[in-house]
Amino acid sequence: MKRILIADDDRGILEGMETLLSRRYDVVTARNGEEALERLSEGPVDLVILDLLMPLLDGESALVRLRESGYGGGVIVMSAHPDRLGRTRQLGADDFLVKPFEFRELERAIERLLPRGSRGAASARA
Amino acid sequence: MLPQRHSATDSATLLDHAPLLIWRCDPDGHRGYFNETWLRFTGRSREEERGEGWMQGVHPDDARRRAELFVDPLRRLAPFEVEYRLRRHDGLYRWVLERGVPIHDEDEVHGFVGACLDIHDRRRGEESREAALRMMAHELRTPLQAVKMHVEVMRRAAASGEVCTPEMFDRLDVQIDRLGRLISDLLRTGDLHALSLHKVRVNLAALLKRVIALRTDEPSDSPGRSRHHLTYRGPERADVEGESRSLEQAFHGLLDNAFKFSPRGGDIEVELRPDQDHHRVTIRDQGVGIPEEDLPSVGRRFFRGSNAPRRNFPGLGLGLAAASEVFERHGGGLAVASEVDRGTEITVDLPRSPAEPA
Repeated sequence: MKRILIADDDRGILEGMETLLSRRYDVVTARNGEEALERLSEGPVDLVILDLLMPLLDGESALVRLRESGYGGGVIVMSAHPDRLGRTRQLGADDFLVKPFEFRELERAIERLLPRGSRGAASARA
Repeated sequence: MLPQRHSATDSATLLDHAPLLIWRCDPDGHRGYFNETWLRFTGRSREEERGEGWMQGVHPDDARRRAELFVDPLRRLAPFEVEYRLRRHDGLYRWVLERGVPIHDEDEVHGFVGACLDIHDRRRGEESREAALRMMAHELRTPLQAVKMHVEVMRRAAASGEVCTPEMFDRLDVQIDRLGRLISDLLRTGDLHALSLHKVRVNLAALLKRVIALRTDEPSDSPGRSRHHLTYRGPERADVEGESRSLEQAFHGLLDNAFKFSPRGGDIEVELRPDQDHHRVTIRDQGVGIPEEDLPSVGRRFFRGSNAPRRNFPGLGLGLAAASEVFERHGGGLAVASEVDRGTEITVDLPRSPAEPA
């Protein structure tokens, strides 16, 4: 089963997404950017879903750090600030979603990045 | 606008007392006259302001725009209107609205007369409202996203013939309550300005304990909250004259900040110490602190520390300003001492109730 890491500081969002995604994926969660990088160093992950506004280490910095560490899998960023999302593409994001979005939109984004049948989890080198 | 029939003293007095910064320039745009209100505002002499001297007071970022805007009206002798920042005697730049009209009669052009009105507070109010609206949108979108996720959980459960468990409804309900709380918080913040106080004798010690108890019972809905340790130290009774509702809101706001800016948790201490003529409440946290250069502006609405980017600490930046206003309206005040990465100490002084039992 493909592994997805979700990082969001909002417990409600995290719980909901985890419940929905764990029907099809192996889901790990993090409450901030630092935790996300920790989870990533613990084992391979196929896709990262990253909120931008998080304490300790925000999504943008986490994105930069995870790309620097050699993580080559897909990254979807999400935020309630549409104006902040554009520049995350340059930082290495593959897709972004503006909150509030439909779960179906997230599913479609995941399916684009994790085609069925593709194998092999990417992890951070560091 | 042409030479007046009244005595010179009269019109000069009127001009100098007018609540407007008035000037006059010749047909080339060189200003030769400034009324007393202008000179009091800039704190400079007529000689210093004369000609183009006054332009030294225009904010460097606005100087060019202002000058360019004047070129055409000067050539066409047309009225003009412009907003720019002008340096006040205390060194602060204030937004002014300037309007100028040409003075001319049938065969002669005398130049322009103009007046500036200080619109700084109004303009800042507008900017604040815009910033508040943007933040409100963000603050509301987050619980909305959670609502959407939980609704989807239930929809999928129902679609596949599973039961929607009471827990699913509870989770949804938590998010709806959160939205409701957010809306009342926002309204409350907007309210504080307009509220008139209905003071009665209030036991500040009991009030603080109430505020703390609410925090302690609150389910932790943001990560790390449970890592905070909130304590009260002080007497059982300390009376002030005040309005308990607004005082409670103000202390709630201060505790909000203490929690929010201590993302790694730690002790938050609320201490009450009665003094000669006032009661002093000190709130100490072990959070990220406020850089020294930011300290003069912390009381401003929508201020946030330069070490607290919005991306790491979402919020309106209203807590401290609103709280400070409440304490001031109670005849007291608020002071901030802080060290980056060590924590912040907020000191609130409130006058003792004159009728307080010894």
